[in-house]
Amino acid sequence: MRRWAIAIAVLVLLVGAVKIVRPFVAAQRDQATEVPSPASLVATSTVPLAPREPVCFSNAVAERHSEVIRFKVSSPAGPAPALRVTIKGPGYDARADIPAGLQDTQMAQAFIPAPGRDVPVRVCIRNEGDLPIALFSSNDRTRSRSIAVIRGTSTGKSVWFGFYEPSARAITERIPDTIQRMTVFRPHWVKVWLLWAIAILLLVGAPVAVIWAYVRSLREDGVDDLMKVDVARPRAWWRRYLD
Amino acid sequence: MRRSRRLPLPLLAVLCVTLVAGLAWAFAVPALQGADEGAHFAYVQKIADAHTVPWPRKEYGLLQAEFSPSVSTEQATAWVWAGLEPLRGNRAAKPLWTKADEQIWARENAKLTPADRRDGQGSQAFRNPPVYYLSAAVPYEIAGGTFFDRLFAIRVYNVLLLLATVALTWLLAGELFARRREFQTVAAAAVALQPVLLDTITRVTPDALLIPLTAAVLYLMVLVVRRGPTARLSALLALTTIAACFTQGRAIGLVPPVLFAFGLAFYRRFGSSLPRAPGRLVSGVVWGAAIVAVAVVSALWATRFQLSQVGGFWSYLWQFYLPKLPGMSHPIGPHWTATNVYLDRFFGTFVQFEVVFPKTLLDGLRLVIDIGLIALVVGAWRHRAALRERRDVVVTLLVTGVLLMLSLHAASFHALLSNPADPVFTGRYLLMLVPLYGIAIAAALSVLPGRLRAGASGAVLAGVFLLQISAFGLVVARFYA
Repeated sequence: MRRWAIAIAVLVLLVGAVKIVRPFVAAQRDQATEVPSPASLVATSTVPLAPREPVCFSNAVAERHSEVIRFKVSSPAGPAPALRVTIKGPGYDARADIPAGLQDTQMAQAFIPAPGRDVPVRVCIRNEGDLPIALFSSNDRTRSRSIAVIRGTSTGKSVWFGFYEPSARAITERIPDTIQRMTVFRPHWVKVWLLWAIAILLLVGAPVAVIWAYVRSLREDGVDDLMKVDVARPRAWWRRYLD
Repeated sequence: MRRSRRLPLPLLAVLCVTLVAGLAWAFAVPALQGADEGAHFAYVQKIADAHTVPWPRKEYGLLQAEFSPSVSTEQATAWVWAGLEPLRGNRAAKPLWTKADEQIWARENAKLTPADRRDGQGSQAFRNPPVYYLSAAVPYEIAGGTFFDRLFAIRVYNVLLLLATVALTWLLAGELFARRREFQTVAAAAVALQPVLLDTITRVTPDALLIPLTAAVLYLMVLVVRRGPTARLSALLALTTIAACFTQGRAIGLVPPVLFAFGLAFYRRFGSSLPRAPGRLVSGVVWGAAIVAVAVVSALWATRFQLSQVGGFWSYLWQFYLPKLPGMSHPIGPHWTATNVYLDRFFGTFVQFEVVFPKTLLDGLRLVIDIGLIALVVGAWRHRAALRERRDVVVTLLVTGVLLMLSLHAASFHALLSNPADPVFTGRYLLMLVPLYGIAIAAALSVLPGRLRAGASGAVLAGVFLLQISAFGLVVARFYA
């Protein structure tokens, strides 16, 4: 009986690993490296971007893997003019130019050099053309700490803005970073090694422990198919699988 | 067979798994991402820092939980500067996850004074009774330190409550299955790996205490019925029930089943002095009167004593579980049925409801549940002699399940009359009966003979582990991928 329990459990776990876990962890996902200001949930707002005027915000962090920036443009009057994005922080100064022609509600995307370390930055987006446009922003509870400022005046809104990796990746490629990220905004005693230990115990130790507990419980109950079999009594073949 | 008094090794192994899974959920999910977690944390903070127990001061100027003055300035600072509020329920958002982010928050947090921990005005959560919050104030005080030190200390405390829930499931299963370790292990492991239980109990929420207290009530009810209403057991059951009621209002639904258990225990202890036939008649009349009384009281409370709505309540109840009959009108509120609550929400909805199991998985789960229910019925028939021997316990647990569900439906309908948009009945509420979920799985497996049962049990345990790890993976992917 115990062997049956172990064999079937291992079989189910293997099938689960192949059919569920592997496709899940192997799936290539768009990897955000930091989203200083996410899209809103309920109410969508915009911040005007007048010709030759920049919109700036601080308290953003360019994570060390960041190589792409994204934000969303509102340009109902026609294709958006060229935009220039400058990102400045201690020891980091990047500039990205987005050519004219973005359509209304289109996502603007540009490449930036990876900072190599996590840098707090100030981001400015400047309208290089003559057509006034706007940037999608949040003014509801999803408004972030990076409030957009125009000519020194707060707009009270946060422009949807995120840093990304240049290509999609599998979860497994970023496991050490994920573990590291889980220690942020946690108690000081939640260390990387502790989370590694929990992760390994959960993924490997937990299934082993559960199956072991069941097998052990059979033993404690004194239940064993070999003990119960009356070898003197003839049995149908199918009985051998049921008794 | 005489058992050793030491902690059984299978239970110890299941508790270790529970601890690891509980800590994983507690640390992986960023702060304040549980349902109303900020509001519940504000309650604890009010007790610990302002030395005030908000309950039951109804005149308190309560605000919407989303409105930052409802919580302390300290928490509101974390909402904005740690990026927790934009993250809540928002799939477009990721946590702020660099040490540089932490430094930006720390700079703002350093400007706060002790008074900024005490100034939360409170939200609807402040109407909850205080037992959980009082208990959570202990780890809050012990932890001290930053906002995050204290919040995660409460989450770790909740993991201990999860361990208690699993241990009580083990004990309850022991009473039902004559201490067969095999079934105790299956029941406890199924509960330990129930994904929504882990998601719920590892947040700051009174449900974290309500669930083990309800499990304790179930266990003590069974003891009272089986061993008789001794003073010690009766006092323990009464105290536990009172503690549950002062933890979360939903526990009021436990009072009628507890009274039933006491009544049954006293009836068994002192017996009927009437001869057999009249005794049965009296018993039947009492049962009938009790059922009618419960039905009438539930319906009246559910409908806010509007007699014209009583038919609507029963129609709502019917259509929640069964297809609409000719002549029935559409029930009040959104389309919300047993499938939504017992399947989608009980098994497959996490965090702020933005993480859900895929439909294919839920469909597969539904098939397994249907097979399990059939096995349960077959098992009940097959083991009818053993069930007859324990009929008091079985009836008590069935009555508890039915009455608790009825009370939740009555509360739901009661609320729907004032706000038809919110069904106020979700899978999280079923967690009060989570030990019965584990026991039902063990009972369904008990129908199988010998090796087949061992193999099926191995498959089920591996299956619940996969379910657990799938849920955890989805939640980790939602926040970190």
